[in-house]
Amino acid sequence: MEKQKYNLCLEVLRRMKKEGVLDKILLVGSWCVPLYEDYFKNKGCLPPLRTRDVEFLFPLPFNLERNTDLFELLKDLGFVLDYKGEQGYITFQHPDLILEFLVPARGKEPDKPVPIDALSINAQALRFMDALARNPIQMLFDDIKVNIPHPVDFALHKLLIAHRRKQKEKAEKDRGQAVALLRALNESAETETVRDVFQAMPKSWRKTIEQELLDLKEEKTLGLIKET
Amino acid sequence: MAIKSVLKEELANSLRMKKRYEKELSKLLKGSINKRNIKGYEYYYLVYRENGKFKAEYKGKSISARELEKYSQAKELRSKYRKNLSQLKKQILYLKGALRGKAEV
Repeated sequence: MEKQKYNLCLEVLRRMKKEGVLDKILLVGSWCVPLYEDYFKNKGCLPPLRTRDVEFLFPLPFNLERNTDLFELLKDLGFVLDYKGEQGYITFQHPDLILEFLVPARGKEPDKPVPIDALSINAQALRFMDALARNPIQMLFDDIKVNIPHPVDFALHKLLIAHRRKQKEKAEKDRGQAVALLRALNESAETETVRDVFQAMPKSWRKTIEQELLDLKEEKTLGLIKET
Repeated sequence: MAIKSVLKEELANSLRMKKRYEKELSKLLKGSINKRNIKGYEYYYLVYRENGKFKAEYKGKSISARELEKYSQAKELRSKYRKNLSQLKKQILYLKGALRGKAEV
């Protein structure tokens, strides 16, 4: 089952790469986690829980040299198109994978789906997404280069959004991933990068992250990133 | 706890997806085009099943490539959607069992 999911995801990435889409977007969410394990060269250092949701972040503005109908590109893999929630965000659904599209929230109507005309889809606008796209890194998903958020951005973003989650369990999962990543970053001597990113954040964001780490009794980690 | 929540979410997704596949299947062109050679002449028929009975509808001595392609694509998608629907039904049974504590998570 996992192999089937992985192969389908790989084929989706391959087709998006061929159309020049993949180079302009970031893979975010739980599908990044195995790539972080590769980044730290430490399999099993992060919580393994991964859902079917594969999330792609589109930095704005998003343009392509040649427009592509993304659904038509993937339809023959067996995906069906669905509209999620009251707002009607487009998702591509398959028993093995659910593809979701995200953009950073902007403007006065942040809940409204944002059209991505170049791909004939719309995307869900979410807050703090800019923080994820700040400094992407490239990792190999099999033989395909994909952009993913820097692990520092991924970890701090998880702490920023955890308390906003409606589901307690999802918040717990966010916190668990964030702490595991921060520990891995500290162990791989990247504490300074974490500190720099943290210090450059707006005060209100820093306060949220500090509180999260205090609640998690991660005073040691907090001490490391606050140290000047 | 987190696993239970993930399973619940996956079940909701699978149930929703099942409906979507059923809807997409109902929207697809029904049947497939069958070419028959009768006494050296070619005739095209649309063949399908209705209420468990085999039906063949005469389409003519020729058929446009576009129409053939449409039926061929529909046939391919129908096969994929049916396979996915069957997979979803198994997933739903498994997830319901796991949430009741009967299946191994």
